[in-house]
Amino acid sequence: MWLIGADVERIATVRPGFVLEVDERTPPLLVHSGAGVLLERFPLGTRVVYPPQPRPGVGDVDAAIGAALAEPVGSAPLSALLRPGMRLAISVDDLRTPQPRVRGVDARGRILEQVLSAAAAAGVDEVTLVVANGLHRRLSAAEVAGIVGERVFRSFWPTQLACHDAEDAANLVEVGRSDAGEPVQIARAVAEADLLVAVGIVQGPGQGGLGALVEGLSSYASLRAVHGVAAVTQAAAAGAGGGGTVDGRVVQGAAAGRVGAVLGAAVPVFAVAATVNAAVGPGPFLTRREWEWSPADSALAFGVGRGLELLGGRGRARVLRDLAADYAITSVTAGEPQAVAVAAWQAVDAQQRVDVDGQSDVVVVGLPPFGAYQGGAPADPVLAAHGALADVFARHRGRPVVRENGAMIVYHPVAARFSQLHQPSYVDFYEEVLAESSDPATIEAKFERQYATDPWYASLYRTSLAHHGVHPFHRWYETAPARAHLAEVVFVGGDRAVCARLGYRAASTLADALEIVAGSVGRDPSITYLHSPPQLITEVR
Amino acid sequence: MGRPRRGVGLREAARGFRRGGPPWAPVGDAGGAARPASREFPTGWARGGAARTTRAVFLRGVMNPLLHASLTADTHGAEVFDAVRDTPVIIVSNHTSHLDAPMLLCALPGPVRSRTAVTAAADYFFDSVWRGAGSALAFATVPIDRSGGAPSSTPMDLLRDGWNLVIFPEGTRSRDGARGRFRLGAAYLAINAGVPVVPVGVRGAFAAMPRGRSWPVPGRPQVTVRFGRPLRPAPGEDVRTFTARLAAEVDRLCAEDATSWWDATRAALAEQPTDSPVATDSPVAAGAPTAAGPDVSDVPPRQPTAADHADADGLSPAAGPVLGGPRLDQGDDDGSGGSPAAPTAAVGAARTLGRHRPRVAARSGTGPVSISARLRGAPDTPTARWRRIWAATEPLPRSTSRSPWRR
Repeated sequence: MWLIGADVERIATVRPGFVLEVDERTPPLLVHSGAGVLLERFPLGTRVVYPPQPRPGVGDVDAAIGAALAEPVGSAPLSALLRPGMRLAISVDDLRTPQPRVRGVDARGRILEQVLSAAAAAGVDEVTLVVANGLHRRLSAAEVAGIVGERVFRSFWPTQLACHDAEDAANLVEVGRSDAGEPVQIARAVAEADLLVAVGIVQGPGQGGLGALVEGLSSYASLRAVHGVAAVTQAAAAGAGGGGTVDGRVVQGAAAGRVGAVLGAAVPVFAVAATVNAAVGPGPFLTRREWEWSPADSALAFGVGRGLELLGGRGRARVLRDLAADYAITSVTAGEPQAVAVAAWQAVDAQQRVDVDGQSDVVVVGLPPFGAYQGGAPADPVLAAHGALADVFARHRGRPVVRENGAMIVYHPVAARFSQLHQPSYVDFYEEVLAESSDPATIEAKFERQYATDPWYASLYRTSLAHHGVHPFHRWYETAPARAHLAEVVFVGGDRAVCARLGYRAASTLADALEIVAGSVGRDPSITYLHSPPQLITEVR
Repeated sequence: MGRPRRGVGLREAARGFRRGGPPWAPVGDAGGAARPASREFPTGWARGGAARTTRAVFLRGVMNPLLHASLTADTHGAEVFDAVRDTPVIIVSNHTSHLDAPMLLCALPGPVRSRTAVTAAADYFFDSVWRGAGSALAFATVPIDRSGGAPSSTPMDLLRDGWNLVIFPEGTRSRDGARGRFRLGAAYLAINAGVPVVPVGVRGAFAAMPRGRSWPVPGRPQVTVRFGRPLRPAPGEDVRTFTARLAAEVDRLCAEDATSWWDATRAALAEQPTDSPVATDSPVAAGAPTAAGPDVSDVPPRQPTAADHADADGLSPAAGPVLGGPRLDQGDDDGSGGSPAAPTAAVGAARTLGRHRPRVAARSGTGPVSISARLRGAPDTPTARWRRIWAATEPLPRSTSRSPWRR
């Protein structure tokens, strides 16, 4: 990880995260509510967990990338791994990270240019680039160009740069079987390469590493065990969600570790990962404490909330689609994939960690209008549940911020609106599968195979911009640990019928939601609000 | 038939007349110490607050829509200015058309554009008050005297004041679309002011509006502006070596647009001259010395004349003939028999120091290519290669009228 003296000095001045107790003088607090923001007054005594303020980035990103490539961790320098006549494969993470998307030049493009310059200097002629989208939707040409940069895009698209196709049997090669007998199929360009360079951005805990690489470059058959309900539950129990590292080793799910080890044994991998800070657009008010807002900040926060509400429909969708953030690159690490993942997670942990004293009965979260799977748009019901119960709930180091059989209150207008382009299988999952059952294990046993092998979904995945047929199932399974942990989940502002279909409750206001959960947590519960946007990792003592 | 008249007639006597200025000095007198420095057209007012606001409105509200209406204009790589946020830079570009300066200015990020001046030929843009004032207001031009004499201190003063400077080192627009020879002024300024240089390749402007046209050809021709990474002179690097590096980078950017970044990078690495002080396209190594060439490290920087700083449009009698691509490939080592004030004289001056001229080696491709050969674009130099690619792919201006009477 490359930081220079001046960077370390600036980081030391960044304000850490902290826990505020709401009193009479606490102003209304900012809450994301799916499609916008609102200001909410919390009950006295509520604990508000504020993430640390965004760190400044490294001074010279190009120099940091060059230094990381020259002195990697656990590997020889990149230039020493390259030789004339070799086949070089480069995988690039897709748009899932960071969210919201990057404004301006993406760090992955900068990394790619340096990697490719090194390859050109070493006389490497055969280079293939793969966008590691796995079972997630293909990216459009413009989206790929935004990630890799115009120069790399124009040089390689579409012959030597393409999105991974998990349904193209001719271009998948089985590189081995895991200890549990799972076949590991990898994109042919990667499987037959002499070296794979994996380029990515790490924004949160648990991203990156060999397991994530397999997920991006493999097929449904290989990932079935990794995303199964049992594997997800086991991984959560092991503490993988918070991106934990113990003694310099990655804490991850057993299944992800197994298939990752197969890939690591089959192809030499050199990983390059950049971490970004928590800067979230569009206004600085999003990352400031409410009592430090200037009148302009207050007006902006109020205006943005009301404006988005008034805009509605297509206008709001356009505003949210164009949402982008000015990230700063906080570190760049290169080398052996697991070591790079450890270094990146430690960097993310240092940026997002907040110490919290004890668990509470109720946790309140607000879901932002962007996410890994929906891009810049309000989440549909399935992804809203995933955002709260899988993404935010898992942001802890071993111990959730809410006690077992506690309650979660989520701000989101859970409306049955899906993207016809990206989510054809989500529509049917909501209409057919959830109508019958919302239990992950039941769904897995009864419906998964049918959706995963449906030729219509496969066709849309391969030729359009649709998620794979099994995509909503995997997202739903990831909510299983939180469903088992929590007694009650209430969506404030949610559509009642939709919430009922998901197996949750809907409330109009926070007071109503607290009234609803009183049956399980009592009349005077302890409340913790994870301040929006919940870019934090809690360490509950 | 009357009898022969003694002396010259009125027509002959008026040949040297210049409206708004003294007659041209003889070439042999150019740069002489006895020649007084001519008074510079005042342009300081055009860099004041009101003029900047007017210019910002004009460029953003008038010129930019006009360019995009009449051209298919693309800009790539303007994010390089993020890396040099607080440092003034010299922006160096090839020059094939009157479109270059407005295209470049409109392609710059707003904050950079508001503090960018364009060097322009005094004898072309500032020969009348109205034209000079108009161009200074619209494009923040500053006059550069191409006729020789003491160099103007304005460019250096501008850089010291934090202004960015656009310089077209060729000194004039290309006659055939190929890059002409780079004068040394931009590199001299960069070395002495200690500022980075942003190379720019403008491609398609010649086809869109070549010499002789005052409006782009119909059909919205493609014009691309491509910014390269900032280059800094390596410690001890002399003016001519740095100029050769700048020219090679501008050529690479044009070739990158014609082919692709990957091809251009590989070709640049394959043909990188052995005496290059820095790697051509390694951002890591940019600005860091590697191996200075034995034949250039001991040449002291030459003091340039005003002619070296020249941007230009229109021909300057003292600046020597415009050197198009094909003519550069021809032979004589000094490029042309220019005036002593022209930069070609510097090559001659360096030669009197007993510097080795590996002309035969350069042609045969067996030895290191001299800086002179690289500046000139001799065969077997990267510049010559780029020129071949460029000549093969550069769009040419097409006939603009379909009427048989206009052909």
